[in-house]
Amino acid sequence: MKCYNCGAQLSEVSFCTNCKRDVTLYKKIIYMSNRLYNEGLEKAGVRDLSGAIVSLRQSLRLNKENIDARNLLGLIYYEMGEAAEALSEWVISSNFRDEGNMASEYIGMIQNDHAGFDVLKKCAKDYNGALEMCVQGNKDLAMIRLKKIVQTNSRFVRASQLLALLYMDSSRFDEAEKEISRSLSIDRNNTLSLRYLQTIQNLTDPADSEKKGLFKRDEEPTRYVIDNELIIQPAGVREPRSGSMGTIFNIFIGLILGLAVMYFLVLPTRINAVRDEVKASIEELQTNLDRKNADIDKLQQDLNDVNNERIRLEEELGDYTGEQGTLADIDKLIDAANLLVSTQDYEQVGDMLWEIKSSVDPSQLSESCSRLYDSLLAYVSPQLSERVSSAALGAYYASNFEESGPLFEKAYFFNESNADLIYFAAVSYEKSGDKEKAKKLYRYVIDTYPGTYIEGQSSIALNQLEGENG
Amino acid sequence: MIDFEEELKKFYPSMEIGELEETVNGADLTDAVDLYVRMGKDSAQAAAAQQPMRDMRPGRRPY
Repeated sequence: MKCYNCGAQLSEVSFCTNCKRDVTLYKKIIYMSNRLYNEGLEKAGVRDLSGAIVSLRQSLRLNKENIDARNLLGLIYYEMGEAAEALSEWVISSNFRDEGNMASEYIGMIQNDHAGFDVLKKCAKDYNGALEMCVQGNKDLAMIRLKKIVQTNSRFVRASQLLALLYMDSSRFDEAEKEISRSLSIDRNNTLSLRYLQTIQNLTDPADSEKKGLFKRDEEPTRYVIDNELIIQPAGVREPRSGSMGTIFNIFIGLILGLAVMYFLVLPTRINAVRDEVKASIEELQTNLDRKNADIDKLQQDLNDVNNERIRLEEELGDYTGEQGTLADIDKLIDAANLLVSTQDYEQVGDMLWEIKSSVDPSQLSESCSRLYDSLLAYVSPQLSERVSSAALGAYYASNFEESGPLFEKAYFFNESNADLIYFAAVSYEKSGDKEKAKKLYRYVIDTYPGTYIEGQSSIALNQLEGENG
Repeated sequence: MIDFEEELKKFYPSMEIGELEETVNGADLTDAVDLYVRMGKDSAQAAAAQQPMRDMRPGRRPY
């Protein structure tokens, strides 16, 4: 020990033998500093590093130039993962005494290990970042970063403690306890670590479930990292239990859930799909039915048209084939021709032609029939005209008008050049009381023979008849 | 029961290597020895101050 005033070596006496200064108190300070260093050394020996730090700090408060205390303090910081703190103590120590100081050795060792030095620098930086994340509420990211730090630098006590606190906050007590155990293996008497451990043990004690419930937060997802991947396990999910009963129970629950899903999700969808298909089929059937009905209506209409056509044709056929039909008239015409050829009976042939004329319009006959009809009529007319005219006049003058009317008409049939015949036919019908027939014939005369005498007579007679009807 | 926010306040940022020089230069290294030495100097000055001034002027000797 040297005198603080003159630097001379002090003896056992209470003053400096060189400068005569009283060094009693000074010696006490130095002794106390050394005692605290010894205490710190003992604590460090049993890995009570936080206790050792306290003792060594006190020692240095008394004597800042206690090189051993300062070097040990740096060593303890280094052991706890605080490389910068350790370096600062060693730098100060080497400033006090450069030669024969282990601090210079420590500094040199750290600086020569470039990779380790970079890791230490990065750990401190990452820890500060994680702490900032915690303050900002990004606990998940902070947890990931801290886990990386403790994997890289397992002696970083404060990082382990902060990670344990985050685990406890998310009710992951097993992992928290693991981290606290790790920190206690480095610093056995760390008050914070011991307090966390005690809290974890209290909360995880099965008999003290109420406390555990108090600490547990609301259901939060479980997070852990495997191969740099963050796995987030949803809240409430538990690992499957071992044992056959548990397996059977889980299968049973799975079946019930499957059936429920089928009943509530799959079946309604399927039913709706089938319902839609049936609806589409019904609509298609309805469309087909409408189309068929339309076809049926069209066919019915066609059938009606065909029936009407059939009836019309039947009627037309009747006109040809009936007793009064055209075919009958043709037969009658052929018969008349045969009769004329075979018997030369003009009167009968004439009657037959008259009957044909009465039943059918000769102009509607076929061309050959019409020619035959005209030929027969031309052949018999000269023979019958006078004869019928005489018979008609006879009946007229005998005032037998009912007979003279048709006879005059028939006579006119054989000789249309004599207009008087048809005029007297009309007069006969008028006198016999068949006014309508008379009017018809008067009109015929007026239309056929305009500007003639009998046309004038017919007009007078027609006016009289219409005036009577008036 | 542990209050996370309260516990978080007990954690302080770790010193980084970049801050080393600033920390060392700014460190308050005053110890008990410094205080003692200062106290000793102050006492010596005080004692010196309490000594009577000698009359160094010639011809003014007390009789």
